[in-house]
Parts: sequence; C-alpha cells; structure tokens
Amino acid sequence: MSSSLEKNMLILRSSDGEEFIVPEVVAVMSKAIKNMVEDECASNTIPVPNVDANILAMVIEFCKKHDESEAEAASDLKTFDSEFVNRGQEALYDLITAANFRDVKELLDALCQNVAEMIKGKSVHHIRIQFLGYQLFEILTSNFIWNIWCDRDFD
Amino acid sequence: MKEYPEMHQNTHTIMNDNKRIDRGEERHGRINKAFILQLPCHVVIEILCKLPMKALGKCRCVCKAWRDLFLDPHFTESHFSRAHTCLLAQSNSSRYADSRTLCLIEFGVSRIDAVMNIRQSNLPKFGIELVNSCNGLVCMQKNGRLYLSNPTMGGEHLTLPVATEDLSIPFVCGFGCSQKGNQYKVIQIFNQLSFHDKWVAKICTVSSGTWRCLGDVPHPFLYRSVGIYLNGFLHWLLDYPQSSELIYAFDLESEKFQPVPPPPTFSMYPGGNICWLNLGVMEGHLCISCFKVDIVCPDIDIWVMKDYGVGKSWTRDLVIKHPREGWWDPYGFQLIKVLKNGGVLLLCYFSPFVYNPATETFRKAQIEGIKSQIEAIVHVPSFVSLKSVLGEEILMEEDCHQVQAAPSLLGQPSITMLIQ
Repeated sequence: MSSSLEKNMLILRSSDGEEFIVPEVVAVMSKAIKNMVEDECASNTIPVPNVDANILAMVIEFCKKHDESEAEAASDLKTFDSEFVNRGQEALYDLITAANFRDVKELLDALCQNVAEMIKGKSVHHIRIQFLGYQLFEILTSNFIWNIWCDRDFD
Repeated sequence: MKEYPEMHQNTHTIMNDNKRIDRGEERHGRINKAFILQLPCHVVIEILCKLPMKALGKCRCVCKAWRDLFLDPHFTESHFSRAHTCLLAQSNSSRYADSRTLCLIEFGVSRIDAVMNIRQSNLPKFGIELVNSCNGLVCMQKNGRLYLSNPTMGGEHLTLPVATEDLSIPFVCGFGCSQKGNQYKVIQIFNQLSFHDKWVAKICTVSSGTWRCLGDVPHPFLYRSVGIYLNGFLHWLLDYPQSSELIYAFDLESEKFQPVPPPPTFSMYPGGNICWLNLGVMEGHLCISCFKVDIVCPDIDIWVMKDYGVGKSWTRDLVIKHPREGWWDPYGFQLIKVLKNGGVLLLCYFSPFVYNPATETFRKAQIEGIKSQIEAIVHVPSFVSLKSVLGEEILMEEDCHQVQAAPSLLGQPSITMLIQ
C-alpha cells in the first residue's frame, strides 16, 4: 500500500481505524503532527488517537481548504470558515477537542470565534439554556445566592 | 494548482449518519455535562477573550465555573493584553446629580455602545470625579480623598486615607502601577501654603495604605491636570514650559521625576502662552495635541511619540482641521481614540464627535444608551481584582464565593481594615 504512495503524502489513522491519505503540507498544519514529522518519529502511517474518522475528515477538509486558498481572497476563506464551523454543539465540541489536541491553530481560532458569536448578544438566561441545558438545575441550585445578586447588575 | 489524489478507499464521508447517531447516544451517557464546561481551560479563555465587554459581563454570571475563571490570572492577563480601548463616562451633570454611576462605552464595528452601568453604591453620592485609569482600575477623587475601583468587577471599591489632614486640595494627582515591582501607587502634589511657589509631592503605595512625603517637585505642573499613565510612568505638562522641558514623567518604580523630550518643533514656539497643549495616550503611545492660540481658527496638531523616550520619534500623525463652526472650541477638546475605519473619536465640551480626516468633516457620535453630555476618561477594561492591588493572593472557590456574594464586605471598610 504505502509503496504506491507519492512522496510527501502521509497516512493518518483515526481512532476507529480508518485511514486518510493527505499531503504532508496539509497534515503539518497540525503542530502535533508537524513535530512528529520533524522528529522523524513517524512512519508513513500516523495514528491520530482520540479523533474519530468523522471528525478527522472534517479537520482534513478544513486544512485542505486553508492550504489551497493561500492565494485566494481572504474574504472567501472567511466565508468558508464561518460556514465550516457552523455546526451543532456536539460536533463543535469534538472539533474543538481535536483541534486543541492536534494543535491546529487556524481551526481552533475559527471554532472559538464561532462559539463567541453564539454567546454574543444573549442574556445570561439564554446562555445558560443554550450551553448548560444539561445541568441547568444543578447550576441554579448551587449558585443560588450568586444568581440573585449578579442578575441585578446586568440585563 | 496542486492535484490531490482522492482519499483512501476507506474514505469516510461526513454523511455517515447512522453510525453518528449511535455514537451520539453513547456519548450522552458519557458526557451528561454541558460541552462548554468540558473544554480545557485555555480554550474557554480563548473563547471569552474574543467577546466584547457586554457579553463578558453576562458570562461572568452564567455559572460558578466561569465566575472562577474570571478570577484566574491567566484569563485576566490574556484578556487585558487583547482588550480594546473603551471610555469610562460619567454624566456631565454629575456634580449635582448622583455621581456614583459610571458607564463603560465600547466601540463596536458598526456602532458605539454604552455597555454597562456601574453603580458604586458605597461611594459618596455627590462630587466624585474620575482621575485616571491604569490596568483596568480606576482612580476617583472627591475633595482630595481617593477611591479605587474596577468598574467591570461590580460595585466594590477601596477608600484610601487622605494625604493631609489640613483639607488642602491637591494640585494634581495620578494613579499608576510600577512596572517591575507591580506596586500600585497614587501620587498627589500640593501647593505649600506658606510658600506660594513651592510644591510638595506625596505618594501612597496602595497595598500599605500610608502616605509618604517625596519632597519638592522640580517644576509646577498644570493646575488640576491628571497624570497620564503609560508604561509605569505618570506624565504631566509643565505650567510654564520651556523649549527643552515641556513634559515631566514620574517613574513609579524609582519615585523620581524626569523630563521627557518634547517634539522637536516645539522649540519654534517658546513660552507657554502661545500654544495650548493636551497630553494623552493613543494606541500605547504618548501623544500631545496642540494648537497655536494666536491664530483665529487654529487646526489641532496631534503629535505621537512612536518610541517612548526618544525625542526624534515624535511625528505629527494627525491634523484636525478647524470646522469653522460655532460649536467647535479647541479648548474643550479631548482626543479619545482612532477608530478602525480611520475616524478620530473626540470629545468637544463633553459631547462625543467623530472626525473623518479624509473628508475633514465632523459627525456627532451617537452612543447607544446615553443621551446626556458626558465627562469621560480613556479606559482599557480588565478583570483585575482589587485584591491583587492589595498584593493578596486571589482566593478561589469557597472563600471567594463569600466575598463576591456579599459585595458590602469589600465595599464598606476602608483599606486598613481590608489588609488585616
């Protein structure tokens, strides 16, 4: 298999065992992978633990776009970024974890920006419902006193 | 254009829905906690640092975990390093109305927003004046007594003891932080009653709460002028400037006064009565706005010192053309900030205007949420706690909860009680 690979290609193996062939320039957008490649401790196949195939595919898509479009207009890339990160919370969480773990700065930046946009302009109550829906009850009871006096200052 | 071969035969498309849903259900059992609370701390800090102050004020109240994060020095630092310049305003009629309410004004992409009204209910009701701001902390004064507060952290404040018991009003005052020792200090300069032309400086390190006498001041500063804080130095203009000495800096570390080289062309107009000067900070540089008073409709030149302390680095960055209209008065002029679109925000007699240097036109700035005239100081907001000013360790978890839940605990006592 690996003999048929062109030069400058790497195989990334996700946590659930699926393999992706990506150009090295794309793969090294992840600092973690870059370090592995530079230290030459990586064979042709690089395991990417903690990241499943689904998420890995998304991350690769993002990196490819950013690699290709270096020359393209920055505004195009911005539109792509904002569309790319516009996902459900679960996918967002997985992507952020992956981007953080593999140290892909551009992706992490775009994702954090997206979460920030989700928070902007919302009231305390709405932020709680949107992000903390799972454990709203717990938070309300444990922060009971805190809630009373801090809600007074804002809104 | 590079050609990428198609992905491997096992290529996974994003649309593998069945599998995805299965795993999603699995995960609910595993997580059962909000995703945003599971993110590593530095990622949450990264997210929060991208938010404007208005949203941050709300985030602080969302849950306990986040409130604790706002006390984290990592957060405070990375937020302040990226914080944008805001305005801290007081209604102009405050001398007669309630002066405790401050208002933080933030500059968004498309509009200027009054984002927070901070009511400091334990301060005296009338006559509070803003002095200056440093690291997000604000110094206020009333009749020579100084108060410190971080308006973004709610209503808590510190009351400093008065410098002299004889009720004299300080000539000038200023507040700042020494750069190496990270000590917050306030300085007041008094006119000695017995000698008309003698000025004495007194300084107080906030964490100790006692005033020390620094001795005579080399030159008189402009009466009632406020120290301009930059990089550990407070700056004042001299009352009778010479061509070589125009600005004096006070080093908060060594507690010594030293002259700062003035713009080179200032030797062209010697004497103080020909030029009207104003000192300020713009984008982290010391700047002077000046105009010649012997001209009928003077333009205002804005000089910026690009390299701190280097006389040759003064450049004339901006010229504000006289609009030749009745409302404009260069004496009431205060430079605030250069906006992202190149416009210059300024206050003219307590009303905000945006000056467009390209078209040389003025436009009254609409601030969402403010109707009256304002007195304002330039302020970079932060979440630095007053406790760090006192040099205390920041309490986390339970202790902190008590302090925060009862604002009066920090609000009422004077500084001496807080230190114990």
